Amino acid sequence: MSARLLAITLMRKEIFFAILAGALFGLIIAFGIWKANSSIKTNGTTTDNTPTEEVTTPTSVPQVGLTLAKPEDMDVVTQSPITVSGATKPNAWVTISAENKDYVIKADLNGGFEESVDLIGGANELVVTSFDESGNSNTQNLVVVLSSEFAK
Amino acid sequence: MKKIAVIILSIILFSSSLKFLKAQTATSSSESIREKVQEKVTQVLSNPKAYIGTITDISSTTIQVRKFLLDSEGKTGEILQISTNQDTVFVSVGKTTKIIKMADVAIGDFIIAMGYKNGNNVLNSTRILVTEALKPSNRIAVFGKVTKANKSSLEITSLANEKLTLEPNTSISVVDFTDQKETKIKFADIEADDFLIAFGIMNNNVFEARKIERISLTPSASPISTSSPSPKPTATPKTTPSPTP
Repeated sequence: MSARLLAITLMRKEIFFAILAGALFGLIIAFGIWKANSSIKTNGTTTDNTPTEEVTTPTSVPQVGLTLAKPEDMDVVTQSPITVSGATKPNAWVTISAENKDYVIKADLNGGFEESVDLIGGANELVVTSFDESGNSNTQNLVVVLSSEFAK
Repeated sequence: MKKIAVIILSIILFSSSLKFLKAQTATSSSESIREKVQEKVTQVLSNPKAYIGTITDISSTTIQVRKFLLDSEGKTGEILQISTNQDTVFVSVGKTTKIIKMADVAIGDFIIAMGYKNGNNVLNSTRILVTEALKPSNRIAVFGKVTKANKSSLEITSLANEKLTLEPNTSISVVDFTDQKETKIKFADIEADDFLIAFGIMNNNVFEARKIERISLTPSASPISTSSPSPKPTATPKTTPSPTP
């Protein structure tokens, strides 16, 4: 009888330690998942830190996004024409005003645009503007220098 | 007791292997970032740049300029550093273009220095043009609907409901863009309710247009290009030098 009691007590101890180990293991896994999640949030979505009130602060005129891929401000090029390319709102009208010529292009369905633009020798001011059909616009001005002698 | 030891040992081994895996991932990720940064730096350093501005200080091998700004309203350009060496070519651009010496360059001169930037943003110049100071062209493009039209002027209302009087300059180019074709039209052909994109400069609240493009607002799937030269540009150099300075 006493031997049976001893066996039950030992078995209970084993069960208790197994449960304890399981719980510890579970805690470690949960901590790992929490740590990974918080790490992803910090690295990936830091732009969301701004309070909503600040984000929705009204600006005077809504703007169309406009990013120029080529050329960059103050670039030196040795040949004309050059390619002006970038991204804006899909189907937006993009205008490029160069020193001697003006260009109108329409962005594609992804917002991409590209145009061959003639330059004059020396400094060229390029005025690139994007318009959407609601009348919103965005303008970027840049200077590109054409010098065929630079390459020599 | 043995079982407990085995369980604890397993947990320790499992945690260690997780840490090792995490470290491996972090290393490969940082290597990839380092490669990309290196690639970008190489690209930037191999891209020729121009520093444009007025000389504020000059020494035997360095020139300091205040950067020329296209939009200088209420702003002053930053100070830029240019280094020179015995191979740097100095060119005076004016009525005649001639090679000059560095000693001929003085504080207050307007220069266009061309070269390659180093990691400290100092331009290692290979060619420096001494020229007249640049002025912003003030060219703009406007987009709107014609609300009043007559032979000598147009009233355009932008989609933001701003009204603008548009007058053609003497060398205006007027085109219609329909069905992906550009056709020359007359200024008088533009009517009320037409949509326009116009290029020009603002002068006393009147928009002096050098090019007008009549457009259709039908969306298009592919990029459509329309361009035509303006016969006489405003505020542009008279001739295109060949070769360019």
